[in-house]
Amino acid sequence: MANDLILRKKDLIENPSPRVPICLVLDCSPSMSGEKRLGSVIEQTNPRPIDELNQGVQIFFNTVGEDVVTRYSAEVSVVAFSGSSEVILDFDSLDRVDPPSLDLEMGHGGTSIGKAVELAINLLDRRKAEYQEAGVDYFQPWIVLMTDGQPTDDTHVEAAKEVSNRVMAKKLVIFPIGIGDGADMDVLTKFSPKRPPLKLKGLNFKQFFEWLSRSVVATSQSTPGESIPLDVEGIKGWAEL
Amino acid sequence: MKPKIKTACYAAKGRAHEISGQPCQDKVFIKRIRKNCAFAALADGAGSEFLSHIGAYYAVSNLFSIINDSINNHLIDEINLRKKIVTKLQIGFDELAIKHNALRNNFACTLLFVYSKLIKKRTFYIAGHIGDGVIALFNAKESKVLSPPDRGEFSNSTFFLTSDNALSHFRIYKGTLYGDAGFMLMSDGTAESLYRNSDAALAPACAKIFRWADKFSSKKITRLLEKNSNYVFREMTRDDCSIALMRTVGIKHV
Repeated sequence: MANDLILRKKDLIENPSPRVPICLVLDCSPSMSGEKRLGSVIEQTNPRPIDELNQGVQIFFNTVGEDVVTRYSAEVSVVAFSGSSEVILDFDSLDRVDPPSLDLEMGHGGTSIGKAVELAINLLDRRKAEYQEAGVDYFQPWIVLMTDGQPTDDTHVEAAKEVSNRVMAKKLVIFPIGIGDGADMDVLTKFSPKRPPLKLKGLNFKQFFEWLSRSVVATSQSTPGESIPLDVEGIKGWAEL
Repeated sequence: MKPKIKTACYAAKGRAHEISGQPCQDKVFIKRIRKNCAFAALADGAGSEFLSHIGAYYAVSNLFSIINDSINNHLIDEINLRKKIVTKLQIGFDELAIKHNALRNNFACTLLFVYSKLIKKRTFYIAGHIGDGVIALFNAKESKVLSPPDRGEFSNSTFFLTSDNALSHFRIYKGTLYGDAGFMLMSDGTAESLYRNSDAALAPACAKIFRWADKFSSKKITRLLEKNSNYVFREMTRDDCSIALMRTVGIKHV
């Protein structure tokens, strides 16, 4: 068959990869130092939760970035919170950014889950608007919410309602994860009407982020009408079930 | 050369299904009715529905018999035609569900079709579409998207024949073209290469494919579609890729 009857790349369209926007909403309050005061005695967890969290985030960025499809489709932002919230990393594709380094928010104290989630929703909405303007397809956005404490204000009430409504309308996917015995699982439940929150087994951040990166890869490779089942077996590796 | 209609189609299993061992969920069907009429249908089964390849096959192979009486009537009632197509196919899916001990949704698929009839120097057409994929139209004056993909907000969502709201998402088009004219149906897998989502533009390759009918027989065009589906379109996506082409030739340009 003559070569000119095989279509060439210049005759084709190259559509941008559909994006998977993921916002990691991560507790960086002082309790993530792993330091516990019992009267005059200070107990220190080693390794520190914040260090394990940092390593997990690094693994997530590296693993997702290694997959040839997901490297160009996954876009990650990071919101760190304690009493206040901060965007540590705004949305960008993984081939253009380095994993962020999270520091303990020593100066602020508190755990304002609601403000952090509101910030995440705003980031996701803005990013979706940018996709729509650029004609780029996208999958349902994800929020990964990780906390080791109880909220110290009630901003989580409205935030949980907003997130819940979006989850029920299939416009958002959320993974609420409790860290340690201090995590308020009842509050996390309010954010996730379809799927109960899970508690991290010990400090298994690495296993969790490896599992999360596999889930992102599966999503970015899905086709219309394909539902992506969670790797339930894999969850057993990092969650208390 | 006397005016006639050339037709060709092909469905290629995507790389994802090759790895998973699942069947190709894209089905295509072409029927030539006398020398001056042709019908093409294409259906794309829903990814996670385990019987969607059967649903897609059922839709493309039964659609012509469902619409034949309605389209022979010059006064085509689009609303009733849409209702007839969706209702009859859904009844068919329900019968399949009983036979396979399954649910209607397990046969979920999109559907695209075109019927065209050449009368003197004009091509009358009627087309229908639910879900993603693209129907393109060509004649001497223009090449354009007749029916774009209909997706929800998200990349992995679309509308299927089995859905409760299928009727409201089923689009019907009809018209008349002058001179040589043609249609191309493509599934979303093929559309990755031939259709730009951001501005609904067709790739230059579409015009090339359309012009193959100037020189080649239907058989040869089918082989070309096979070759390009397997070695070109499949490389741009993991999804199944299917395409159907029909084109009138031999009419002097108006």
